[in-house]
Amino acid sequence: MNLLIKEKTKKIDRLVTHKVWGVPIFLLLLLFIFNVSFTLGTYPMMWLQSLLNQLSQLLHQHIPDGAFKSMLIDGAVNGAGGLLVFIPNIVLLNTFISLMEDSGYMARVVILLDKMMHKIGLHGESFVSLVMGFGCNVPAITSTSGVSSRGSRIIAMLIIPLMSCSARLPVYITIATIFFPDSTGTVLFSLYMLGVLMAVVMAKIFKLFLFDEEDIPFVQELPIYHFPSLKQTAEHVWSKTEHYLRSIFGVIMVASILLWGLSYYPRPTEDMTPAQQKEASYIGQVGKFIEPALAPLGFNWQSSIALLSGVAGKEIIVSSLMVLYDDKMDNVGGTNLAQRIQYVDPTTQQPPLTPLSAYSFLVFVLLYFPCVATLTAISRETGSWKWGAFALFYTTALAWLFSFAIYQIGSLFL
Amino acid sequence: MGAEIQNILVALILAFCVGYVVRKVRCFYRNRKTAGNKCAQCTSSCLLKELNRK
Repeated sequence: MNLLIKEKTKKIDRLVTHKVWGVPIFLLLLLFIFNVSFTLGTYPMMWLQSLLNQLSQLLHQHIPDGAFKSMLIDGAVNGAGGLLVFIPNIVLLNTFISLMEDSGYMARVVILLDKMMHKIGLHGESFVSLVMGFGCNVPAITSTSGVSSRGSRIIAMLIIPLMSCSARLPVYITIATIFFPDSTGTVLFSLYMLGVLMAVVMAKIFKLFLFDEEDIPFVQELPIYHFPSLKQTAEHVWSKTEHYLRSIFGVIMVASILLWGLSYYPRPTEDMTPAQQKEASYIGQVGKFIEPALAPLGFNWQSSIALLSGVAGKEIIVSSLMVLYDDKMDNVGGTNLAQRIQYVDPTTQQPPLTPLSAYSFLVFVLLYFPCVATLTAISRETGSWKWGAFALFYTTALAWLFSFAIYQIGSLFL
Repeated sequence: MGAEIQNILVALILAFCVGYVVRKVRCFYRNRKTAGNKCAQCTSSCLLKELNRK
């Protein structure tokens, strides 16, 4: 029986770890997973959105006008609660990833890509940490402690933030489903690939200019293929979904309410429109201050504030967008961010974000500064705050340059 | 629910939220100063637990 399984494993490996077909098979599989997750996830997503709309309307009808009502609807339900609609997508995506990991295929992918990485100068030992970075950058950075060479370890830590962690996923899903409804999976795939590509390029640059050391071969024992158990997969998916739910009802809820407070106060005078009130609020003043730095990338002050709030955690970006584009601002009603974010302002004749600026926004989210926890982890593991500061500046500069190029070059054609 | 009660409720909730942030920052700073991996526990305890289990 064991021999038969080993024989089958060898046969499958001949195809999926093939030096020519191996990588294209993996890329096609990823593309398929992203597209299936979003196609299947659209229906439960719509049901959850309709439930949220009903809850919002119920609160609207039963609570008299005032600060508490606004906080409950705009801050809690539309802000943090709005992230609940992405749970079906996250569950589906995590199920596929879990199946790939538990079946033994992911271990092959590590070996497959390691061969490629060596060719461009990236260390084999640190590759597992890079893959872990797709889950969360913090434990990925901590896990580099197993890398024997200090130079390779620091390079790995510096490029891990370019691996698209799961906290960035809700941002991608939100923006991509609004602006690219027919190609959400492909847009997501392009972002993940861009992250990997940038990590490879930056590793090469760091190796050339900062640490020039010899490669050490990467050795890993490959498990035989097996059908993942339902219990194991369910545990895996639940663990990730639970983490997401905890974030929504913890740090994201708190951040949304605080952001609501900063956008609600000081209270406006009688003759101010809701949009003018938002601009005059505390957060509006900060947004207007930083807007010129991000305007060349196609972002208005609301998007700039959402990006700034992402310093604490990337998931907060979505709830910030939902709070800042609340329904009173443009009188389009409903809790649907899609309507509010694409609403054409009658004075400027421009929507807050266009498909081009939305893609530029997504690229910025992919590349810009890592969250505080990641920066602290880099500083702690390298033993110096300088590396943390370096990671902060180089990723932000990279994000600015890329988004600038995408928006400005794209504007010439679109 | 009168406007005054609504304002009091909002003030209490905002105070709780500010307290939550202060507690998180203090925990983060304290753990960073003391020992190794604890700093990540404030933000990604579940993931670290999962990692240890593996």
